[in-house]
Amino acid sequence: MKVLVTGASGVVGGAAVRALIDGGHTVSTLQRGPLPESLLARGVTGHMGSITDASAVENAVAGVDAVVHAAARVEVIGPWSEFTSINVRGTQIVFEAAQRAGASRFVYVSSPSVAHAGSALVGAIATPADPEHARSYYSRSKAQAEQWVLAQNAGDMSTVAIRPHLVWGPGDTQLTTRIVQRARAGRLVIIGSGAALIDTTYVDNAGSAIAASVERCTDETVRGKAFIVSNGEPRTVAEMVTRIAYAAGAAGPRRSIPYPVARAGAHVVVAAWERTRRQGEPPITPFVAEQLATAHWFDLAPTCAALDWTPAVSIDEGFERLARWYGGFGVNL
Amino acid sequence: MSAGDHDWHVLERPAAGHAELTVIAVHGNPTWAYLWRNFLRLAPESWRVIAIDQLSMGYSEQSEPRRLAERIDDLGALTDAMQVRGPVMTVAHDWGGPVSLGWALAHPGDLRGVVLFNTAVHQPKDASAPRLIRAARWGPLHDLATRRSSLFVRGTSLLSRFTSSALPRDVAAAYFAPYVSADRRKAVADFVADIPLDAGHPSAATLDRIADEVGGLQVPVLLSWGVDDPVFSDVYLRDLMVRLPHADVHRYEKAGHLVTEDAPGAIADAIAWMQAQGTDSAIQGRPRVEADPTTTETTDGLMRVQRSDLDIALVDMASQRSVSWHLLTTRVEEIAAGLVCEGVARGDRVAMLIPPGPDLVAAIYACWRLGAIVVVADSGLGVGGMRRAIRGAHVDHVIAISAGLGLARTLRISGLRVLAGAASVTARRALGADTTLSLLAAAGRRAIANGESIEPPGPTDQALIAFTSGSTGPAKGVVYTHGRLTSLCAVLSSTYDLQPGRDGLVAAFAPWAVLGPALGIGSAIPDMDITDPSTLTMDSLSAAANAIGGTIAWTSPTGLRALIDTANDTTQRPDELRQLLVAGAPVPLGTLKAAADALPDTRITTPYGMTEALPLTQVDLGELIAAQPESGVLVGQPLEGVDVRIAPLTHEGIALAPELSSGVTGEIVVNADWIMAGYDRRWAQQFKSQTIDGAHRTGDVGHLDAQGRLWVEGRLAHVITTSHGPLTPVAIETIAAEVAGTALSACVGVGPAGRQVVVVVIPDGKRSMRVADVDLTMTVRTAVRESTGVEIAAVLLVPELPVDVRHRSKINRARVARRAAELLAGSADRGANS
Repeated sequence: MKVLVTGASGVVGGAAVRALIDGGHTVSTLQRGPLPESLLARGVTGHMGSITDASAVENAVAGVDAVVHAAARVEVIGPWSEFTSINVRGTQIVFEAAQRAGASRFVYVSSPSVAHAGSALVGAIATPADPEHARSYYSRSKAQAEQWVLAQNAGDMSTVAIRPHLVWGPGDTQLTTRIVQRARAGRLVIIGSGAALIDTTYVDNAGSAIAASVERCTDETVRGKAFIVSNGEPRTVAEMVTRIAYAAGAAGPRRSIPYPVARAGAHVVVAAWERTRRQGEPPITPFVAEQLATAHWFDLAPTCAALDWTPAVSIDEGFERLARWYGGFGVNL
Repeated sequence: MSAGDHDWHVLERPAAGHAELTVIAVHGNPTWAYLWRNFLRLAPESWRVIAIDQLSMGYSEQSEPRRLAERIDDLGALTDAMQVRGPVMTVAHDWGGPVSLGWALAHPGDLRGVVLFNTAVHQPKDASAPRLIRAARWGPLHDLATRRSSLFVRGTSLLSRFTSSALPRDVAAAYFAPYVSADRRKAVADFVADIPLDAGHPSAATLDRIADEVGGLQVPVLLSWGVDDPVFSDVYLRDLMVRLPHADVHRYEKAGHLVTEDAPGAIADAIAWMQAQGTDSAIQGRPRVEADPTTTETTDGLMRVQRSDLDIALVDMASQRSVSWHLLTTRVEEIAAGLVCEGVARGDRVAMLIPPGPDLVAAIYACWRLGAIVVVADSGLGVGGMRRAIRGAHVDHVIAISAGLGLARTLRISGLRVLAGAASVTARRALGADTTLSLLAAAGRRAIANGESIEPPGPTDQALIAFTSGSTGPAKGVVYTHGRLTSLCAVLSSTYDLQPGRDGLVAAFAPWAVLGPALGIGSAIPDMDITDPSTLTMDSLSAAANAIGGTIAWTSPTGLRALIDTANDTTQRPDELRQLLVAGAPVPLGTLKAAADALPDTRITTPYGMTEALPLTQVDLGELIAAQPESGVLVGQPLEGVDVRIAPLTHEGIALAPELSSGVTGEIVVNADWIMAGYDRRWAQQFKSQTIDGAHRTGDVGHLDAQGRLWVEGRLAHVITTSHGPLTPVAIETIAAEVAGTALSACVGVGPAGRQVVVVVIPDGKRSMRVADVDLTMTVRTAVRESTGVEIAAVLLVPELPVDVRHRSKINRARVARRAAELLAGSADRGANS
């Protein structure tokens, strides 16, 4: 199949590209910056451009059978208008262009936070996206877009939403790099008890799940549905954070701060960040504080059955790979 | 719904297709059809369920005050109008009981069964009328309490779980909804006014007729009772049980007047009962019957009689009291005759509140001799637990030491109170004792001299009600018949080769302290606190054994450890002791080896069983050492006459039908002639635990190995249901404790059934429950993965694990699991709510 992947410079998009190539597909990409050498070397055709630019999108979708839409605004702060224009409107632009170009499969890379109202999720299954109760602009815009994409599933067009949960691994700048940077600076703390059990996804497993969903997209048990993807190995926040730090050769968290303090602190940080118009991301937001202090793990069985997929890289194997990526400085447990 | 010139409010759940059964559900005062909402939800689709609001009640028409007779006629008119035909069962609560029974008596052709929740048809003479109703009926207070204020309505919802917490707010509001105005509450007042408390009352004749005729009901009856009901107390249950001797009974502990709200399973249990009636599975809820009662001989109330023998039958080492066989058998006959003189009859229930010793043995065998049922609640239950147990068994008489009589006073026992021990007349009066064992024996001697004799009971007569330890919920009464106890003695005699005149028993474990006479062998009770096995010493065991030529001894794992700990304090050893049985909980191999070193000439075996069924299997030290490790604890080969089968588990951890196959892990299902007849007054418990062919579901999980030996892997309630299937905790706990260097660890599941993750909890003596560091987590995870293939999600540390008081080794995994689940859910929820 000819498959277009948007957002290929991101960690999940990149993983999807590699998995699709491994699966024998012809892959092209659309992203704002240049493609990394590693992907170009594997014969990927890269298009540069924004997903909100209709002509760039038109150009990229020409002749493809399937689209994996991974491009999104993932920042945790910023004005609602930016989230809605990129995550909702941008998705519509890509989908509509793909449909016009004759593509019949559309895989939307979503997030479990689209259905997460903030309470603990314990052995949960995928429930419908719920923009009204989403806890951040990011989640709400992703929820709206997912709802819209799944509603487009009809006739010859099969759509599916894949929700990888807390992706980590080499190349992940969101979770992995932040933890490692703070650990190296000696500023890594655990919020609350660190005991919240969370599902995470080693980056290659997110890629293989997306590739599987491209294959299985037209199946009646798959099309029009949303699937949670993770390693299926829930771990405590404390263990994940510590082992990511260890993999980079840094020390684990030295202390913990109580959740209410972290949440209150996060409110202050975000307010200060926005008031001073600082660029980039604040070190913590209330949403992140809550995410790191609340259990969220899922029953992976429905996803495995429907996508005919299992996470090939275990958490232990993932940490070995991450340690190698950090140049073998890591303490591998 | 219009019927008989009245407008009715009715909740109806129609049958899908032809109605196989119609259920008419009648609420009491002051509730309404809302009471039956869960019944409508849970009833099989093939049933038509009609829950009415009685006239003037709930949302039915406001009418003139109705008398009981009118209410019965009203209901008949309604069922005619609703074209109720074919098989019908009635379900009723509170004063809906008499109305539904009135209807039932008038429709014998269609009636297939009757279910009654906390109700009454009669004011028993010995009971004051329900005090709350009497209070509500008292002239001016009546009007104020019932009509002008919502006191009575509100009060009834408060009667739910009277002793602990009230109903959830929304449920209480729904009960109250029809009665918000004083106008609507008029009917409540009228209903209270229609309760006949004296013979002159206009409804008294109707109620009396129902009370008289109800005994003629041929259909099955279920009496389902919340025991903490201050209105319809156990007195009313007993009254109904006398009128309906064939009724099935379930008493729900910790449930009040609104039993359907307080006991979450009560509605589902009632539906299961209704489904079982008229089918083969009806017997599952009833006591086991003897396979062939005529072949089971009893011997004068279980005692293996050795009348002329002057050898020691029993010696109590603490008091140095010893009793010969001659004296014991004579005294048993005399006390039995004395009890009969005082009006104790076959089938009466007699509570024993006496520590093990000659008095207890004489009293128990005397009761068995005349066919009275012995009720024993051991002090391990605590005072509250003992009171609850004795009250629940509806005990008629009590034989007790002075402290026990004090307890008995609070239980309103209507029959005989016998003091075990000497006391002056004044002291006896102060204790409320009617007589003493010595006075009974004297009266019995006279009766025997006058030629009076007592017919011994038969094998199907009940002999004993013993209570389970109650470590998981309230203690349950377990019923044994004479035939089953005879079978128990036979299997003990044959398994351990016990011969009268040759062998002697050292009873260092309370439950066994009275069995010697039934086995026909002399017994000695060591100088110890028999209710606390840790007070046993090698010295006291040896002295007891050597006093009677003891060849066999019973103790518990705690007692065994105490023996090892005190072995070096003395040079004494039990010279002839060839067998030591350690029962009650699994014993670590190291402990058994240490015991074997201390007692080199004694074979140490551990039988497996429970209050409901004992013994089932046994294993000795040599076999344990030789066995290749498998999942669980090896408990050995089933004894001769024991049928052991395994009920495989589903994905969600539910046990299916039992089968006999090795390798499969599932619930252990057993049968033998000596297992209990059944649970006392717990129909649902009995129904769920008994298979259709009379076997007992133990609630333990395990497997049979290739040699047919049984391995126990834990409790069914502790099975962890992962998405890869069910698994049992014991094997994982053993490995985790080993690598963590602790004596115990707990393995529990966290998450919804069928999707749980596995969590290991290790005690470290430090601060509150928390996540273990990464190193320990990885060490435990790797060790468990390598030997079992199971993936551990998290390792937690706790100061100590909750264990049972009696054995200090049964982990309360349900509690550990709850706390682990709370911790692993994270702190944001709690933070956000605070």
